[in-house]
Amino acid sequence: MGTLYLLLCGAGFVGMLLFLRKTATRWYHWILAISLYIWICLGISFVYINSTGYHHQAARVGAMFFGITAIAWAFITARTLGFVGKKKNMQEQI
Amino acid sequence: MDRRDFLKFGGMMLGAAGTMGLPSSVRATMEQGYEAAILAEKPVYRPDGWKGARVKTLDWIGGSFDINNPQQVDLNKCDSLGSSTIVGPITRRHEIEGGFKRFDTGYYGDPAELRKKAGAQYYSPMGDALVFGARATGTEAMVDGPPRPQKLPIPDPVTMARHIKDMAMFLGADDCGIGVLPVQAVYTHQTATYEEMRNGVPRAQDKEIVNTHPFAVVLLYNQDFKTTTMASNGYDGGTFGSRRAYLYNGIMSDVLARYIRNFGYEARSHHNENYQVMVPPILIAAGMGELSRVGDCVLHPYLGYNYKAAVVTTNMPLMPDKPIEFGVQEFCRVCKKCAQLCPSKAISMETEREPYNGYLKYPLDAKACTIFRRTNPEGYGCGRCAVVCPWSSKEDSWFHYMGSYLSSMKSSALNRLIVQMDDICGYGSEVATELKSWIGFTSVGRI
Repeated sequence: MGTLYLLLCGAGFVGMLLFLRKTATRWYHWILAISLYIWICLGISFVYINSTGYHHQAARVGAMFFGITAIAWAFITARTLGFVGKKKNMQEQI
Repeated sequence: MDRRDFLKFGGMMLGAAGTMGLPSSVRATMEQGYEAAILAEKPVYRPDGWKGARVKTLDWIGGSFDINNPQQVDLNKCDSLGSSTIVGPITRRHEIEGGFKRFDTGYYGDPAELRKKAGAQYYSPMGDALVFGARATGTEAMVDGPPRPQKLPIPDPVTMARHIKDMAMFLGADDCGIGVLPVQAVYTHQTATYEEMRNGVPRAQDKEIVNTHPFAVVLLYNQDFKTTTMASNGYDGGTFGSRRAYLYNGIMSDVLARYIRNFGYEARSHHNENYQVMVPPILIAAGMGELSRVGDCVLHPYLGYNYKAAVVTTNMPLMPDKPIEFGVQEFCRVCKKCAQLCPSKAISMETEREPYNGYLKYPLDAKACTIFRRTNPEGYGCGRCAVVCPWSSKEDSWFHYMGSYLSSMKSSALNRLIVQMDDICGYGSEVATELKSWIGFTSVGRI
């Protein structure tokens, strides 16, 4: 399972790079996106290891902590990359 | 010649031809390189292979060690034993001063009456069976014997020490260290062994101990996190894991001692069924951990409290290890989780260590601990401190390594944060009901 997870992680990382290669034009875009991806992977790993090890409370706490922070981070990253709020800006320009 | 022999012969010829074709200097380097690579391989728990904690190797006990004249080390001439500070004269102890020995000989009162008064009601078929299996390893014939009359040639002490550790790992040890034997770790007298008691010898019998072996090989057996912690109602898992470790420790140390005697050197094994030595100072001397808040227990940087140790004392020339430290003194000062959750309140909540028999340690009410373990009305045995300790309450994982690493940085603020995160995540307080039909729950019955 660990090997499969690692494979999926790597594939997801490559997919993210391909998805963002035209949108992310600044160095801090890449830092935000890559660190978000690492954070999500850590969160999935934390929850998976704890739940398979019968540490259910730790899994719940981890899901909440990593989940909420990942959502907030993703929103900031999306705003920075222009995925959120882009249409409104374009309409204002027209 | 059949096909297999032909292929084997052909392979040998090819290998020889390849080797002969190399310059002699390259061949010598390759052989030395292979041997050096084998010797350089570390068992996974050794200091430069520790997973997680930053382990620092301290100086020799007493400041020096002479391999040409190995002797036991007198702690009264030293300032410290590892990270434990020595503040006064340390005296050797009698084995009967141990908690279980005192309980069983009636020092705390009639054992049957104490059990009845506490409402002890649990009997474990598995716990008894594990002890039954271990008893055979504690006879005098198993733990000791005359060495082979003629000594066999052995390599230098460094290589031999490495070999002994490899043999310990081969026999099943999860970690192995070699230390200089402290004089004060040897009991003055030994009580009767279980075999002697079965033959009618009273437990309180005194046998004076004379042990001049300079080295102590320590073998650690992992009690298994799943058994000790998760498959348990909070008590019995620790007892099962503990007793299984005693069983295998007895076997490993008896075999290793016999192995050393077969080389013509004296060797005597010490384990739960037959001790002549006190194990905690030997663990510290052999670089297996630091003395912790649970006043008589040594915390291992990787196994935490999830182990049991056996010792083989010997006069075989070996290069010993040095004591280590990895931030336990600073962590235990802040954590106090074992003290807060101890059901018998035997572990001290004090922030600073106090002098005891010439060295600093956290006070431990051995009487309260022992009586509770022997008369527990809620389960079989105890081991709650081992279960809740942050160093042993989780299995191998990147976050446990990260926590261990941060804990070994000796920062009070970081230690407090780690302990709080440990509490928030509920580590050490879980009961895995999924494992109800595994070991712990179904092996304990009402008396």
